Amino acid sequence: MKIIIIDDERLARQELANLLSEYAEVEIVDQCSNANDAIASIEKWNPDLIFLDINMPEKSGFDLLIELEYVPKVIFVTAYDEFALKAFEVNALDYLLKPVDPNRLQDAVNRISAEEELSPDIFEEQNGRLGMNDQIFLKDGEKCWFVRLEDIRLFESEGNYVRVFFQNFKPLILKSLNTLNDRLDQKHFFRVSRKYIVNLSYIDKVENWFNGGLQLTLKNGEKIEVSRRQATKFKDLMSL
Amino acid sequence: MSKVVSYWIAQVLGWGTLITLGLIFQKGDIQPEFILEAALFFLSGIAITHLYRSIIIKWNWLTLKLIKLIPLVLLVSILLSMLFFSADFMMDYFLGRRPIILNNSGKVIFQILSYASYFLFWSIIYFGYHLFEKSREQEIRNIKLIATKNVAELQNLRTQLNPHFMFNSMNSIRALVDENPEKAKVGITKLSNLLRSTLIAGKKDLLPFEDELDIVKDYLDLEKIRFEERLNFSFEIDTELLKRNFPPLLLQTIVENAVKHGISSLSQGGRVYISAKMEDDNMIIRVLNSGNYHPDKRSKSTAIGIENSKKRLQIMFGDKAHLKIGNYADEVRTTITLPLINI
Repeated sequence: MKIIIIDDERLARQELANLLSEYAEVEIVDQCSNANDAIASIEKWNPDLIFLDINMPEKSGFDLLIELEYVPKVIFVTAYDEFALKAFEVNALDYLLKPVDPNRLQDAVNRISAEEELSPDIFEEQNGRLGMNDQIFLKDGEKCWFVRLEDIRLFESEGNYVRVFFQNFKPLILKSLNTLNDRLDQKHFFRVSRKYIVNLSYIDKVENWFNGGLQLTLKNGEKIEVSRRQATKFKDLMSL
Repeated sequence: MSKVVSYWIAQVLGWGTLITLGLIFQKGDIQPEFILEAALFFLSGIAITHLYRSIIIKWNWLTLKLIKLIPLVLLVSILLSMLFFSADFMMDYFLGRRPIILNNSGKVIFQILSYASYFLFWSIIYFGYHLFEKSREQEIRNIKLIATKNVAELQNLRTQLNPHFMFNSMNSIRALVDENPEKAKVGITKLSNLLRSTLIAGKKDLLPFEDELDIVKDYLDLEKIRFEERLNFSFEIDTELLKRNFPPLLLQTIVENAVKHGISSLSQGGRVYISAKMEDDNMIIRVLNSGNYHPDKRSKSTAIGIENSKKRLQIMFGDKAHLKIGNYADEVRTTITLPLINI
């Protein structure tokens, strides 16, 4: 298991590295003292797991995650920051408190190893596209989520932003729908119009609509129009 | 002197003065029956007003609003004066002295009104005194209330060691146990010292400035372990000030902010410089730190830290102390001014 340790304090990185040296399956591929180095390092190494400090100068751990194209498994390591951890509403999230308790570290590492065995290829990127099991990090104001792509039903373009729909939430991310479309798995996500990308597995009903377009009804009842141009492509895709 | 005693003294003095003046300005020689009449006047005056007072107490007139009280007092003064007039008339009658011409109504009304003015005057003194007492009591109560509030608030404003710092410190020391056991031991000692002294200092209103400086030094030494070369600090302290008193953990709060928002938010780190000087009768403490002060961008906890420190100074020293914070070039400068306090 490839891991990267990210913390602005040398001794904190040192301490975690000492604790992790006990684990044969763990390979520390890099240690970073700031978010910018860490982003480059994550892109270079594609780690399975990162240990991430939340409070760092200039860019916080959250800022780092927002900038990542692909988010590896994350274990937050923080001293005392109930506030930051409360940001996570839904997801079960892994975090360790400093000074790190070796037993808790063991639990966390074991849990992640087990998940690795269940879906060994967490990082399913092929041709620069993200797999359905890959997770992205979303932040909307004070709230944060890790969301697997398979759990997202819809992306909607909103100016320079894209609104991401999953469960009852719809936070914004600073990305264009075009860039996003290039990163998504074309077998599962379909660009139905200039405004929307839909997760195909969430479609419940397809009806003919005006001007040769289509109307999709999603499983939760939301209705999305498919433009005429995209309708042809959509029919081709679905008839396969 | 109890209120009842003052009341009787005022009664005797008041009516006494009135009859004395009456006797002095009496035309002609003072005859024995004048003295008798004056004595009766004196006694009935006291008796009637004493009755008046019982009514005031019984019906709680002291709690009435002025708008109700004034007409009531006017009315009662006239009624009492009529009573007084009747008593006077009967007295004259039984003494067999010159009968007042009852059929001269003008004279009767004049007499009643002049008696009424005595009772009015009496009322003004009586109610005026109570009104004055009441407002003074209210004022005392207000001052006491503010004092209790301030004590409670001061207790709340006293800072405690930031848990974030505590845990980060312990984490660094844990790493040092392998790397540099000697340094780790020093770290543990300093952390215990700091914890102990903040616990003790937190309970006091004031402590010697040198004790506060020890706390700040221990704190900075511990942060130096954590931030290593990213943190540099220096002191310049007027030794005269070491034996003066100081509000506990006030400087510590400022220095903690300087490290939290100056040093820990800069990748390259920076410096903290602390100076304490005596100027006139004041203690001037300056804390300079690298970084930038953005009051709006800062976390809530910091804003509270600075605001609480300001409030503490305000409660303890009023306008004689102040705390200023601002940006100068690439640094944040915090200045605390407070009066010299001897131990």
